[in-house]
Amino acid sequence: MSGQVTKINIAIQDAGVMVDLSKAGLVTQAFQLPVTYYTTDTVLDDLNSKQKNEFFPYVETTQLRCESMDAGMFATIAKYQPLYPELSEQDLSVYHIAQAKQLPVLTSCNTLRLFMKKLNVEAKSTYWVVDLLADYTFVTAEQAGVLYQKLNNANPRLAPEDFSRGQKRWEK
Amino acid sequence: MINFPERLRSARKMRGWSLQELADHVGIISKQALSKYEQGLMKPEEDTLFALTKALGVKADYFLKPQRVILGPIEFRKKASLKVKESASLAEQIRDYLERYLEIEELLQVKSEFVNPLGGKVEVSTYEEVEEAAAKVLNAWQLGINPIPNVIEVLEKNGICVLTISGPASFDGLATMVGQLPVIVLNKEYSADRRRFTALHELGHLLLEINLPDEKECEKYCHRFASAMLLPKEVALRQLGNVRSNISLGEFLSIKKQYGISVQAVMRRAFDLGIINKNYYQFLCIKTAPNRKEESFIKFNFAGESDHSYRFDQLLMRLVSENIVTESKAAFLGGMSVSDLREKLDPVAG
Repeated sequence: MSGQVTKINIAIQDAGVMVDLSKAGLVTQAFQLPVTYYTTDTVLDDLNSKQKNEFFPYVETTQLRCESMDAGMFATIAKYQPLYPELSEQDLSVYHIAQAKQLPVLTSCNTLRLFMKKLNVEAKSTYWVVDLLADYTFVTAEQAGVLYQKLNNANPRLAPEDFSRGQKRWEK
Repeated sequence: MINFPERLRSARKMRGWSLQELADHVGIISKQALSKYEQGLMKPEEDTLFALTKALGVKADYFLKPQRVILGPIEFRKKASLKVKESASLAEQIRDYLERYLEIEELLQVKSEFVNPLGGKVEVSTYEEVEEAAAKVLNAWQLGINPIPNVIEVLEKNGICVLTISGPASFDGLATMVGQLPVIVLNKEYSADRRRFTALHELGHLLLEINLPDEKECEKYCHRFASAMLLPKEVALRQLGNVRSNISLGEFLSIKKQYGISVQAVMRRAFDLGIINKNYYQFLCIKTAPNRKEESFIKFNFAGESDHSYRFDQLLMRLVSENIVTESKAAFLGGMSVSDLREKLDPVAG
């Protein structure tokens, strides 16, 4: 990908995304991308202290924008929770941001991705970060294949369909 | 917002605040309005609800959850030093756990089935009847007279919900009913021996009808029931003999390790069954008094007893594996963070 770099905005919907990136050693690389990530403080609260320490520097630089609960977010949770008992307060808090800012969401959880698609929200798995690293030539195709495998080792349940597709795409 | 008045009162009491103190913390609601909310005479608007959530430090969905677990009468095994505020806090922890437990069962469409092994609550008025009831339970649950490998597992297998929480030292355990579901709560801070004993003591409360005016005497009946479950009469007689004038500490420790019952409880069992006389029992009590908590007997602790519910964890894993709820929702239902849930789901990944 060449020419003008387009800034991308995306909402991290579950802490699982950050756990995936941390376990696969991809946090630094994810923040080299021209991406502004959005999330909520309740999602960040779901990380352990080691993981929080990895992400807090990016909260400070505002590349990771962490929003707190407000009346609007509360209203969204109050509206959708009775309709979708399968979703958590955190899931709905980020759904609120995605709706308000018209953002796609990044989720590690396969069930959550399905729900977001039902709600007409564009939902991507953590593998999207690796695709973007390769698209922006931060890594070679071969390295992307290795990173796919690393993410799969970190989270064996992560988006099997994306994993097969990515493996084919980034084959040596 | 079903049961909103009760939830509001409960959250306020958990904080130990008066209506005026809550009004001061919220800032935009008067004490009078709060009183009306708690009496169910008025319902708050959404922005007021949000302000209450923030002031009370509860999660956003605390006031939104539809069901509210109603605990039946509670039989506490506790010390007199358990404070009212601690009791209220324990009750709130138990409600929170049970709400999550029942929601998991509802999402999975499974239900615990409890069948009273005695056919119904059995009235007992003598210790012999307590011994008989314990023997019947061992028989009905096909436990025989061997050591019970894992009391929590046995109780859960037989339809009893077991919850372990970190409580104050003044709290041992309790039994209650939630609808038709029997519930036993244990303090996980205590040793495995003590938790086993307390769990079976609480089982006694659930299964036996003890109509005695003296509460302490009722507690003794449940102690006897627990002892008879852990160390049945014929086992105690086989291990210790019919009549003894002297028993070594090594013998008590051997039984402790094999049967998961404390030395204190074995001594009492020996006295209750007439194996030792009152004088010798009192002598043993004095001799072991400095070591009542049995901390120096750690290497004789029973191996195998768990300190948590198996069923709860298994149901939680099933929810995620079957894609019934999101991981974040499962973490909430499990009372843990997403990070901790992931460690449970993928213990070897990474």
